[in-house]
Formats: sequence, structure tokens, C-alpha cells
Amino acid sequence: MYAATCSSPLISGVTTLLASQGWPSTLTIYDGYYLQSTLYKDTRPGICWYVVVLMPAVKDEEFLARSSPLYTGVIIMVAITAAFATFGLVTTIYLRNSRLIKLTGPIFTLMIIFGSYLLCASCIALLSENNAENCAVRPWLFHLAFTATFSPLLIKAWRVHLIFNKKPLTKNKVISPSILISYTIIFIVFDVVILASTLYTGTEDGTKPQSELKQTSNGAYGKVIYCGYTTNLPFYSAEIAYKGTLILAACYLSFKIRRLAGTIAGSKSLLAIVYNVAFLTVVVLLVDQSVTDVAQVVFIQCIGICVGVFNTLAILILPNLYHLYTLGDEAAAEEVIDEVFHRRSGVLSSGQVTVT
Amino acid sequence: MANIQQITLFILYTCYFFGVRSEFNREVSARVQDFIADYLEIVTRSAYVPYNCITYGNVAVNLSRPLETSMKLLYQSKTSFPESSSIYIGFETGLFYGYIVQTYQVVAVPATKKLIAYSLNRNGSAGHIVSSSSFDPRTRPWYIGPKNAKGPTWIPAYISAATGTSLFSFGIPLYLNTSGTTKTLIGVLSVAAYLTDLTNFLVKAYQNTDKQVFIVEAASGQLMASTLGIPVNVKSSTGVLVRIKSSFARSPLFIHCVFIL
Repeated sequence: MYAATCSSPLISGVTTLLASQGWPSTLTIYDGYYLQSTLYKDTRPGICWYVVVLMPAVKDEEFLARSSPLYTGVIIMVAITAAFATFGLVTTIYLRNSRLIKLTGPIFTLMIIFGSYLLCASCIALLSENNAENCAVRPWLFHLAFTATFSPLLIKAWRVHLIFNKKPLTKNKVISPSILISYTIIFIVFDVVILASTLYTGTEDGTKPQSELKQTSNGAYGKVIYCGYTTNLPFYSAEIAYKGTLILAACYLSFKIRRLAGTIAGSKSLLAIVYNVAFLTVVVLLVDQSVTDVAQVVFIQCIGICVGVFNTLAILILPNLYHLYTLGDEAAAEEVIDEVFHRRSGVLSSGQVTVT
Repeated sequence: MANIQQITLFILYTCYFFGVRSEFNREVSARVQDFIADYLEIVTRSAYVPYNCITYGNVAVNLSRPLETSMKLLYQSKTSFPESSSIYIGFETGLFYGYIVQTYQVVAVPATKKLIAYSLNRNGSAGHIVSSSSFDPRTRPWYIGPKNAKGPTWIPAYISAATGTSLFSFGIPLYLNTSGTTKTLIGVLSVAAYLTDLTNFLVKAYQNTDKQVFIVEAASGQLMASTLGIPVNVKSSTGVLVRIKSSFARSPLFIHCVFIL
């Protein structure tokens, strides 16, 4: 019986692998085993055997598997974040007719909540093995979800800056929901173009899983399967440049509007949200670069996404609910309008104060 | 300062960990090689014991007397070293005798090339006739190999004509005058080791460990032995059929073995 065509898949697989590499003596990982081959030559002529020893291996995980406790951690984080987003969705829809919520712009809040759901879904897509479906979905879902969530913040910061700082005497202070949505769509379409042009034009395989024999952290050579986009430099460069520009622009604009009246312009909230996202992005990128364990990298990414989303929603929703609960709708709305008139007397009329 | 100490400790630990691991791996490989070397040493000893007796004349035997030589020399070796399943001598004349698994076989009249297999009595003597067939030892790999090598040598795996099973063997050529300048080959003494026996040896050696071992012949790619429970033979050294997998039963090797049997 020939070892390469043996009925045991393990023996035939190991033999084929070792034969294709010229029977190396290096420690290799195959199918959950460390394997090492040594050439045995007897002191008397005629015997020249490859002796292959197999030992159960602790292989580096190339994805966050269900068996890992971190997997459960991600599921819990996503569940809490999604539950909080649902709380925001329900309260925004329920209180949509209250004056205070109208002043803060419910469409703007709902767009961010929708993007938050997509970001939660992108965390779930980061889990499990690197198969063709997961690898194809991950870059699209995360990047488009981020753009869908973050671009309304940028648009609002830009509008507030334009209305309150650049053209304080303009009559039209309102940006309609259709304009907000269409501007957001423009940002998303631009991201789609970046994704489509960098993910598939640079490499033949695009996002498809690729396997490579690499030396793992335990010193053994093992077959590692990774998504094709993880080694795509143009894709990462373009996305970091695009997202970095969005974040930097939002940081600049929110800094410029920081002294404006809080509730309507949402200047304080915007400043807090944007700087929180920027800080988390930098921290996650730095930690990603310093950690080699893939499961930990995925876990850290999910922490970054969930904490970012949770903070954003909390800053956006909770202060308004607190005002509404402690002061009542009418009083809270009057206080907001008074705040605006005291700061920018004569600039705004009560019917034209909604920015989003 | 504390960070530097922690980093230094981490680096030292990593070096120690991988150092210990690689040392461990080397140790495992060396241990497996030792096991194999032990097994092969036993097989070669079972050939050298009768060979030395013949060479130094410790035991008075007449090599042309098959049963007497077999009982005096070969049977002792067979019972003392159960790892070697078969031990036999073939001669340039075509004479052949020895023990193959649980039988005594002999070509008593070389001209007829008639091999008669007898059942084996407890004292090594021949019992009743089991079978007879045509056989010329001089054409077999175990004979040709040492003859061409002009010295003790291992013969790569081949199919036994007697049992139809895979085995490898160790042979020593017998010369008429070993002290003179010219040597005349008179025959070959050979010890056969069945692949199932080597497999059983490995299985026993590694039965309480989490390690698996298999051996591949470098030249042919033949699977020589495995602790993974894969049959590399259709019969054990005691003549009992070992359990075979259905995929193996359909293989050409198995069909070939059945045809020979």
C-alpha cells in the first residue's frame, strides 16, 4: 500500500504534503497535528525510511471560533448594543411628535440608528471561519455601515457650521430629510466606488479566501486561511484615507461649532461623538497592529465598533430624553429655543430652528 | 522601568518556551528512531545468531541436511526473537529450508523446485504436509539482494511468495571460504519481518501516548507501518488474517494478495 494513496486521509494527506515539500524536517501543522518527518537510515545498508511523528497541535486560530470565550463576549456586546439601538429607535418613533424631538431631528437620529444596526451586523460577520461568503460580506458591510452611520454626523456638522458660522443672516436654516438622505447616499456611493475599484481590480481573487503555509506563533508551519482583502494594500490605503478624511473633517467642523447652542445644533453632542469615534478608531488601529492573535484582533475590533456605537447613541438620545423627562416637552422645547435666541438674538425665528 | 522588566521577562519566557518545545520535538523524533533501531536490531540479531554459529562452527551442523540444521540453528532463533516471523536459508544449488510463519518449508530436491510446507511441531520438527508448490529461492528478492550486495543488507518491502503478504527482510550471504581472497557464495540466510509485525511493535510502543507514527519507504513510497490502525498487510505473522478496511479490500494490492494465496 502506498502512503500517498492510503485509505487513511490523514496518512495520505500528510504524505502528499511532505512529499510536495521534499520531506522537510521542520515542524509543520496539518489537520490538527504537529507533524515532523525524519529520514531514518539504518547502520546496515538497504533501509531508508521517512519516519513521521504526529502530535495533537494547538493551532493558531485564524478566526474567532464558536469555541472561544471571546465569541460569546462579542455576541453579548452586540446584543447589548443592538438592544440599546432598539431602545433608541422605539423612543424616537414613539416621541416623534414631541417638540423637543422634532427640534433635534428624528430623521437624523433614525439614520444613525439604522447605521448602528448595520455595524452590529458587521460585528457578527467578523465571526466564524474565513469562507467565501464571510470574506465577501465583511469589507462591504463594515465600511458601508460606517459611512452610513458617520456621514449624517458630518453632514450635520457641516450644515450647522454653514448656518451658524458662515451665513448667520441667511433665512433658510432648514436642511430637509431628503437632502440629508441624498447627501448620505452620495457618501455611500463614493465608498462603493472605492470598495469596488480596490477590492477586485488589485488582485485576481478579490475577497476570496486564500491559503498559505506560514510559521505560526508556536513555531510550527501551518496552513493559514485568510480573506483575500486582508493583504490588499490599495484597499486598506484607500479606505483609511477616505474614513480618515471623514473623521478629520467632522472633528474640524465639530470643533468650529463647539460654542453654538447645544440642543438644536447638537454641537456638544457632535463634538463628543466625533472625537469619541476618532479616539476609538486610533486605539483599535494601534492595538490591531500590536496583536498577532486573530481571535483577539477580531474581539478588539468588535469592542471598538460596539463601544463607538453605544457611546454615539447614548450621547445622541439620552440627554434629550432626560430633558423631556425632567422638564416636560413644552418646557424643554421653550428652553432650547430661548437658549438659541439668547445666544444668537435676532438670527433665528422659532419656526426655522430645526437644522436637520 | 517596570515595563522594560516585563518585556525582558516576556522575551526570556518566549525563548525558553520555544527552546523547550523544539527540544521536546527533537526528543520525540529521536525516541521514535530509537524504537525503530531497536526493532531492526532484534531482526538482525535473529539472523546473526545462526550465521555466527555457522561461521565459527559453534554448533555442528551439516547445511545440506534441512531439518537437522533448521531445528538446531534456525528454530532457536525463531523462538528467541519472535519479532522476526520467518527465518530460512536458500542455496545456490536451489536447496531451500526454514520456518515461514507457523510452517516448516523445504525444497529438499532442488532439481524438482518443489516446495513442501509442513505444519510446525513444538520442537521445530515437521508435522503433516500443509501444501506444496513450485519454488526457486534464487529468484526471490531476499536472495538476490544480499547476493548482489556481497554483504549483509536489508531488502525493501516486497510480497511474500509463501504468504502473499508485504514484508521486508534482512539477508546475509553465506560464503564457502570467508578467510581467503576469493569467496564462493553458497547461499543466503534471511530473516523476514512482516509489516504487520512492525506496525504492532509501533502500536505497542505508543499505545499510551497521544502520538501517532507512520513510516514510509523513501524509495518506493510504500507505507511500512502505522500506529493509526491502518492495515499494511492482509495476514499477521501467525497466519491470522487481520481486519481490513473495505477501501483496502478493493485495492489492487489486496486483489493481488488474494490471487497469490
